[in-house]
Amino acid sequence: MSSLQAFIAANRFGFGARAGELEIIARDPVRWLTAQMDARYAASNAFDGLPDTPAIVRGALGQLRTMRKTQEGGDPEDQRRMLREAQKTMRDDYIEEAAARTRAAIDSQAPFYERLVHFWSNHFTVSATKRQSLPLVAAFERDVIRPHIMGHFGDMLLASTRHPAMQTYLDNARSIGPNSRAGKRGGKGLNENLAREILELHTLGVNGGYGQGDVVALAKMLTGWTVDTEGRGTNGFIFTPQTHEPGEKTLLGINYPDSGEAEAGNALRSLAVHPATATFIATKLAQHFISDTPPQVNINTLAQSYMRSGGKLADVYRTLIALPDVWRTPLPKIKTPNDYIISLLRAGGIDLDNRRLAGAFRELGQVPFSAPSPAGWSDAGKDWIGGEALLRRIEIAQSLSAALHTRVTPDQMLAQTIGPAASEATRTAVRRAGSPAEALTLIFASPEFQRR
Amino acid sequence: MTDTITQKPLSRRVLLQGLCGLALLPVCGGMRVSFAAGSGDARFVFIILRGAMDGLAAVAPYGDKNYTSARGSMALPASAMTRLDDFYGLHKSFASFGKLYNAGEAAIVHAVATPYRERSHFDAQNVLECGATRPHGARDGWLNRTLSVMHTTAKTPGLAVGQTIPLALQGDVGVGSYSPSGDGLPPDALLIALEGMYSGDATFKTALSQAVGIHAIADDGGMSKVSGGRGKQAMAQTIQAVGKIIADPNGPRIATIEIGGWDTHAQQGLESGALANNFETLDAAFGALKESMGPLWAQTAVLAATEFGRTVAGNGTGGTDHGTASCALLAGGRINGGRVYAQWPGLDTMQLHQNRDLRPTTDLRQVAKAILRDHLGISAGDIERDIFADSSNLRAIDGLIRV
Repeated sequence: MSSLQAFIAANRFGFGARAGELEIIARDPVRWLTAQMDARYAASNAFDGLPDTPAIVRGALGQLRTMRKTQEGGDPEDQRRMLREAQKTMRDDYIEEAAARTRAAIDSQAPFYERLVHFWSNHFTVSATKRQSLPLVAAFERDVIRPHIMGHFGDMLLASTRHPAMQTYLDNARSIGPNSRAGKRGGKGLNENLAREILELHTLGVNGGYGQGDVVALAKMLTGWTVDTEGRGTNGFIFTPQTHEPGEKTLLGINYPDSGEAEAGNALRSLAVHPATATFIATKLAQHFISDTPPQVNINTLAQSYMRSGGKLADVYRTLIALPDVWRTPLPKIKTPNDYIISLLRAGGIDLDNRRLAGAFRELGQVPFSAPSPAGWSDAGKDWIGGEALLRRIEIAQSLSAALHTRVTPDQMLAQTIGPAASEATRTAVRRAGSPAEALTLIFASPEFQRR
Repeated sequence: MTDTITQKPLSRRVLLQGLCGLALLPVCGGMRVSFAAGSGDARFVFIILRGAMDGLAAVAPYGDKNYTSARGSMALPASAMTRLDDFYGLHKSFASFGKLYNAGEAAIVHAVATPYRERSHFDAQNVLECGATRPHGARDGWLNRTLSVMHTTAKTPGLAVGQTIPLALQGDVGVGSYSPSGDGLPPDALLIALEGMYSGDATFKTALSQAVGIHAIADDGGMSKVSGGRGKQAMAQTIQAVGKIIADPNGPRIATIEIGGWDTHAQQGLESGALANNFETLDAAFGALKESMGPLWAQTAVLAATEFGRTVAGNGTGGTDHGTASCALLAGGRINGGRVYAQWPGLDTMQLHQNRDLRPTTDLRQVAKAILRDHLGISAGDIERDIFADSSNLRAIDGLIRV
């Protein structure tokens, strides 16, 4: 196996190489990837001590609720102060969570595994841009995405839809069936947001053959699925029969008899193995790991693997790794800011404190867990490389080089990161640089370091 | 590192000219050449409102006899709006826009939508930006195609405010992005080295040369770094800096600004709240453009538009779901303002689109075509061939642009 294939394995499927890693990968790049699909990577000690979903629903969310309830009486100045303090605690927790996630990727011996976590976390976007979801977004990734990364897509879909982060982010928690007991008392009703995004963004895709009637049907099935605020349910989820829309529903031509909580679960299981879902997931995986405009034949192969295995994700990843196209140059993809920052810190082998880490993501416009919409972050290079965006990357490359130039030579750094792929123009620029720090900056700002 | 190039120190200006491949400022006997007023000076700013703005909350048709019953809990109280006439009321958060409206420099087009009739944000934004009749109907943005027929002398004719370039401005014509919250260009020696290193990679080469082009203007104007962030103050600061670049004689002819956060499914509020805060942010952009562009404001049209509107009635959670028609806000010295352009479709259930949404009576391309034809001076032939194909049956709104 060539060293170029090691470079591809480390970058196209990972976050770039740490010092010495390319040599290890070069022994067998394919095996290096498949070995990472082992379940023991599911647990990472980067998350030790961080709260799980039920603890957050009890803690942070409970605190907000209590404050709302006591808002009627009491001193308004006091309450504003309490709210400010609670929000500050939540923001601090969030910065710590984001740093833990990033360190897990920087330190990982299984960067392909971490890439998949970030991929699925983006597929099922819940965003801290919504205040009620903020305390839960990191726990969502830990409790919904990580446990299901190698399993069946349907299980991940179900876990995602039930999770309080998704329930609040896409407004299902307070959606009420108009003909349910609670709905008949008046004033409340259906919210279509989660149902629409499940069909459009999580399963079938926008051209997957559903209509407005299907959106409403799924929204009705999802009524009663909500956040467990009283500690009576499991993992922050509870079904409340008094808000569930009664009667039979029809989704994509299939009739679902009135069966309460089970309706939406059955619908999601059926959506998970729909051919349109297979094609949609296959397309997104191909766009993520192969090219912004992947060959149709690759998409078809991945979709067939998905259908054959009933949505068993580990099987689809094996199919992906076996595609000849993924081992070829040129390097068509450009790393997102998230992946670029992680690549830099893996290459540099240095740690930043939480605040500086958060600052770097903010500078490059991709703060963890804060995608601007339910569609998640764009995966396309043209959405990440503008003139100003490139200047910010160069600034970050400069500050990392300033911290590193006395500890590693440019020759070493070039060899251990982009060596197998570096162009003559890049090598020349690095060789002619006016100082070691400038040479390091050029390596980190090179097309080869930013591409995969 | 031994064979470092020794180089005569270059002035920043000469260096930048070298990198850009042309002089950024036409210099004539030590004096700046001033451009004659005309369509060559015209500026167009497109504000993209992502997430579907509730047009009935921005500009409330309070005079419609069904307004209160149709909107229900979403109906604005009189205290939340400023009456524009005996039918429309502007949300109170639009203080600057309201002043422009009273001065005849701002207008509203209501019950307007793109040709897209489904309810996906992302397909709808694609239509809003690519300018085709269906999602992904064109691979580039209608503003970039506009630049391709404008024959402007500006080095960077299109500018995206922010780090990256939205689809509306992506395409064959080279455009740039700018945000005043960075450190500016790297040191000269590093810049030259980067240019050499990127010579074989079109993506990085183009991005760097665009950054250099924009920053040549920004640095020349003594622009200082502003802090990033969200909300109306951050918006005002950013646009103050950007407005000066747009107003530079060599400044971009077309600019985009993106504002998100309009997807108000829950607790959107009436007089105050999440939606009102967003209105203030948008309002700050209008106010800061007027303030920072100086005399060139007279040669400017600004259009703020969203991918679709929201349901007329509130949903069960204090918000509104995805709808169809919304309103578009226009401002600038070239806008024939102080009026609402609309064929009002009515709010009776029978008058609504699919019994739930405000029915569109104007195609957003009719607004855009008026700006292209009467403000930017582009021929109908160019518009219908290169910019909005399949739009020959759509009439540009007459009188929208001051002549």
